[in-house]
Amino acid sequence: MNTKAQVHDLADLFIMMIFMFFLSFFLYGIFSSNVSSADDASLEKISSYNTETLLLHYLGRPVPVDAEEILMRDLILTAVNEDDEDLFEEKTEQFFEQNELKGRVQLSNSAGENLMSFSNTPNFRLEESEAELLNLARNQEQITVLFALEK
Amino acid sequence: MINNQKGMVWHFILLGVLIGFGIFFVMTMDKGLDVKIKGEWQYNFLNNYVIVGEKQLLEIDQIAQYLGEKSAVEFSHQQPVSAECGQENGVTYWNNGDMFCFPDLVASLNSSFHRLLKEEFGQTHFSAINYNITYEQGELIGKADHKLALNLQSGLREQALSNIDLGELSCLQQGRFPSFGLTGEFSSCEECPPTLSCLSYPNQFYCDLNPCHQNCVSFFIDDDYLNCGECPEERSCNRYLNQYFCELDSCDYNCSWNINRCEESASREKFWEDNITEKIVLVSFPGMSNYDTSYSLAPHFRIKLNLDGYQQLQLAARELLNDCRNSAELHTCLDVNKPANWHYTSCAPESFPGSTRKIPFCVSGNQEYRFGLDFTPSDVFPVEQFTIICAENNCQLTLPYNPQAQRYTVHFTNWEGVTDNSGTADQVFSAVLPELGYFYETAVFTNPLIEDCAAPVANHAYLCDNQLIYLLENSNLRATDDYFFTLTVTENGEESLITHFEQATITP
Repeated sequence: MNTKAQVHDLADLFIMMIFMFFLSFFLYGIFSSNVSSADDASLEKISSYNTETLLLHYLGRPVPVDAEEILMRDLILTAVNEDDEDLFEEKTEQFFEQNELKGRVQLSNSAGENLMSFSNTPNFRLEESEAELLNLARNQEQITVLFALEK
Repeated sequence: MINNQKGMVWHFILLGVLIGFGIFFVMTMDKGLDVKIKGEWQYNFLNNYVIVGEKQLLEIDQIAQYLGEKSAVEFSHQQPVSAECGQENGVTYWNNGDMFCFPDLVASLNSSFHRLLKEEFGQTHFSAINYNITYEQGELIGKADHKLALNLQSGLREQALSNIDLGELSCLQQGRFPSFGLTGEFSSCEECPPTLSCLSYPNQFYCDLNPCHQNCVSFFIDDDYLNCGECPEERSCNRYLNQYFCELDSCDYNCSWNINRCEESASREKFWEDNITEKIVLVSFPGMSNYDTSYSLAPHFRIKLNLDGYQQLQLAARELLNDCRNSAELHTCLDVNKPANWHYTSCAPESFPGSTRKIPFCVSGNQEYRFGLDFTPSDVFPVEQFTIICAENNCQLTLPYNPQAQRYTVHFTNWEGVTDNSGTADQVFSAVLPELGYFYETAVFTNPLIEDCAAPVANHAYLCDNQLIYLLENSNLRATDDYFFTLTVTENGEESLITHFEQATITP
């Protein structure tokens, strides 16, 4: 039995184990960063879809006004036509509070002029979604509803 | 030197492992691990088809709400005319005698909804949809007769083409290159230069459209469009960001999308390459999964529309007709019995139409209704109002003008007992006995149509100041005797009953 050779082999084995240990860290780093960046991209897309669905939910939500219920989209048009920003802000704030959301809603006309807006966040990095409303009382003018939520 | 076979094995294993990792890193250094984003196709589908579909439904809902309300107003102001009950001066009548012709609310809403949809929204693809409309419990419900396809061949095609300025579109269709002003608006159309820098394309749309057939492709950084640049010489389908760019294959690498990755494949036909209109549609929606993906949705709407008042109006109309149809004093009867929010002719100012029993109404409230009711009585009214002044051989009868009357018959006798009788002329005068010296005579005159206040001529009727005047001349009318007069009127061939007599004494 060659003791020296055995010691040598054991040393090789030990060095290889140390090497494999660090290598596994390295590989983990590569794999996890690739996978997590793909995951992040997926989550970002899910977040974007979530914003789109919340926008539709927001526009289709019935809100009580003067003892009757009207849809938020109709309320927005009423607020624009009657220049009643307080009404728009009050009902939008209620929606954001009830759904525990942070974000911004901005209304603009077809010329791009800002008509009304609501915001409950100072954050500018928001996930945005848009929908068009037809203002039939004003010659089918398009009102753009920009709905943005914190990411 | 010691030859340790076992130690050599370990060394070779270690070397092999190191070489293996080395090859692995060399192979993956540039490419990364190619870990694909999970659910990318599903996300694209949801975002570019389902959400777009939901937004189209939102638009349909808004249009339906507007058209539903407008149709309801149209219906309440002027209902469709029925052949049985007719229309006068734009007012639809709801009855003709005993027969009611209440307009069919749902059929009317259906008809006006579709007419208005084509008139006011003819430019949208929704106008091609036919809705089956029903009205239930205060809600107008519409279901489309066919599904709406959302894909690049239809649905989005019109949207893509309508988004481009007409001059710009025409320029592209001529195989030329539009140029734009400082504010981005289309200014002129020019021939494609033989060598055009990809940077001349102003945005991603033009870079992907590549109307001058240059070797250009869109470059992105962190999913944001960077610029339009020349295609890299190294052919790599992997560099296409997603299915859209893979299938567009601007660099002609012969790439195609395989489930979740872009791979090189056999040369395939790009039918949009020679058809700029098709390519405009394709590149207008860069998020769309591909040209063959289609999403269909069933357009529908359910909107609140308060038309319950219509049912109550029908009941009130029936009651009012019951109460006043056979009343001679129609105006008085209507004033007493009609609901307070019913007004004659118009809601403001109201006016009662004279000399007719066809009354137009305007009902005020949340929904203003306009319609007419025909109070023509079931029997001809007996003539109860007339005055008579007699002289030797003649008597002048004066009575209110009745435009519905065709002719009048004056019945007179010298038998006093006749005043106790009532009924038809035959019944009333059958008891007059000539053997006892009594006579019974009649004179018939037609109802005049034209006003004429000239001096009365014997046995002729005149219309003057809304009064009918008739001068009866008869040799039986002698002084000192009493005579008993009554009148019957004939309307629509039907003669009225006798209920009232006037006594006249001829003084010498």
